[in-house]
Amino acid sequence: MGWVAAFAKRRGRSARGYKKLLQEASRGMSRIESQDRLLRLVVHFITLRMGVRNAAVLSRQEHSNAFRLCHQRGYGKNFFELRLESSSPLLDFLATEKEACDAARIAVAARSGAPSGGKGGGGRQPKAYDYEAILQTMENLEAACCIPSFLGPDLRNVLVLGKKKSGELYTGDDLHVLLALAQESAGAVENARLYDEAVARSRELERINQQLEYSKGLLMKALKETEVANKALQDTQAQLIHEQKMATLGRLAASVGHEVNNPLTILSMNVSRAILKYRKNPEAKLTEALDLFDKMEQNIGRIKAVVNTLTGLLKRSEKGKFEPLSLKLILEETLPLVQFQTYLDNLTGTEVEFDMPANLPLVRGDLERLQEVFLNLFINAYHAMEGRRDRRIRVRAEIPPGHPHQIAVNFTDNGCGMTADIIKKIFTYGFTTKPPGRGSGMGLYMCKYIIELHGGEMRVASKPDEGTTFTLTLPVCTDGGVPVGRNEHSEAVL
Amino acid sequence: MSRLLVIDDEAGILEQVQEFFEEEGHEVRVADTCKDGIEAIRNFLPELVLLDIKLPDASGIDALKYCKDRFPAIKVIVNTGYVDQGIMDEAERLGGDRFLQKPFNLVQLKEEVDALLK
Repeated sequence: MGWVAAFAKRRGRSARGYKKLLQEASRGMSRIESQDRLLRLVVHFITLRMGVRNAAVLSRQEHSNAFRLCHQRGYGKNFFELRLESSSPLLDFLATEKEACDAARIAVAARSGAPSGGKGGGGRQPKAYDYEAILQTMENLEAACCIPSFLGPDLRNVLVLGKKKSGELYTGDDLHVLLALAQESAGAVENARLYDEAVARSRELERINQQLEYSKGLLMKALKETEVANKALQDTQAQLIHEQKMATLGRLAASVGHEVNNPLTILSMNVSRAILKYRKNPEAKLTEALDLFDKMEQNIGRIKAVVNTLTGLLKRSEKGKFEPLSLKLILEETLPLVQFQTYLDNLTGTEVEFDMPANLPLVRGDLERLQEVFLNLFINAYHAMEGRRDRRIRVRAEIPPGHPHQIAVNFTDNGCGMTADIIKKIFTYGFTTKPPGRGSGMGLYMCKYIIELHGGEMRVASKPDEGTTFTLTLPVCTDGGVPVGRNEHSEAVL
Repeated sequence: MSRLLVIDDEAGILEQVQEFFEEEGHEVRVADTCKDGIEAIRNFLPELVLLDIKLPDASGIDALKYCKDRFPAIKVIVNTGYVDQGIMDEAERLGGDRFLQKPFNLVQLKEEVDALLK
């Protein structure tokens, strides 16, 4: 009597009842989630209930298709990690015959050389197996019988059972029930396997998540460091601009010292001469010293002009309001000032040509100060072109190649031009080639100063008798915005 | 009576100094560039030079160097409107006799001139 039948009988159940028992066992198994735990339980249950010496499961490995002996009970250490390749004759037999493999029957078949029967007669040509090899494998596994378990057409697990402790052989009933149990359990085992896989996947996901979190932390840290570095860079730039400003102001102060001290010296000399004259001749009339007073007045005027320029410059460099500006607008608003300034010099009839691309970006700057720059350039150009016939000023703006964040303005006249010696000095404070009363020697110095305060540069190229080109660069306003004013080429005649 | 040479690019100063020292009875020549100044040192052989540092064509230091190399007996009063200790040190090293910081008046200048010509 088979063990399940015996078990059923002990519980007073019929053969029908033990079918029910099988179902219950299957349902019980289906509630166990982990494959590992489920197979361990099956092995444990069978060893206990059937009284077998040893039992294990040959379980197909996911990736290699080999079968590994696991969940051993009653096996020695040397059975750990035991594997069977899928080509093993035993596995081939189980996969093909889809029924239990009993060592006693295989031994008989091996001796007679005949097929073990079973399904062999079911119309299908019985397959010839290497029974000796099967038997040998079973002996190696210490197996008395092997029960296959399929999922669909695939052999997934093989229940390996050793001899019964009682010495009894496995009956046909036993094998039948075991096979049924194995089949019934296959679904549960697969579910458990999928469950394990899901658990492993969720663990892997969790691990990946953790790694992502860690990477995110690193990124945030790097971002923060970049921000700090950026801030430091900005501070350094601000510091540099400040230093440049101070250097410019320092140079200015030195020049101013000279520009103020010279007229002061003359003034002082005039005063001392007036005093000496008076001491020589206390009766002298004031009119005799009028010439000296005139000179004093002149030099006081010089000092006043220097002081005004300096205070104006300082005031503007502190309060200057920087805003997005269109160069076109700056020039258009400067032109009437030029006309006014040049009216008295009888310089009308000069052609002024603007060449500015429509898509020219805005610059960031102080409108009044940039107008001052262009006003100076216009006036210088007019003076340089004085006495010439075809007077022409061309103002061309472009984004210089390789410097996408700059606008270069080329301001060209066809006036008298300059020699290399003069070019060297034109940005020097107080230097002028103009006759007294016409030029202060401050204009271009101021222009360069203003352009540098805007973060730009000012250069000059000139040839005597051909003309002069001043090139100003100004940084493009990066805050966005639409250029003000119309585009394209335009001409104006004063 | 002595021969004085004034080298300065400031016409107002040349005029005042020339008039004043001529009234004082000296013979005065003026030059408004370094080049003309050196020329005048050589030809006019003054006893005293009033020398400005900032000249349009070169530094007055060049004229001082020439003067003290070739005519060490000529007294030189160096003056400048710049506040630059480095230039003054250089002038002293090259043998400048007196140093005046602009602005100065004619009375101060006369004191220096008289002291050097004594």
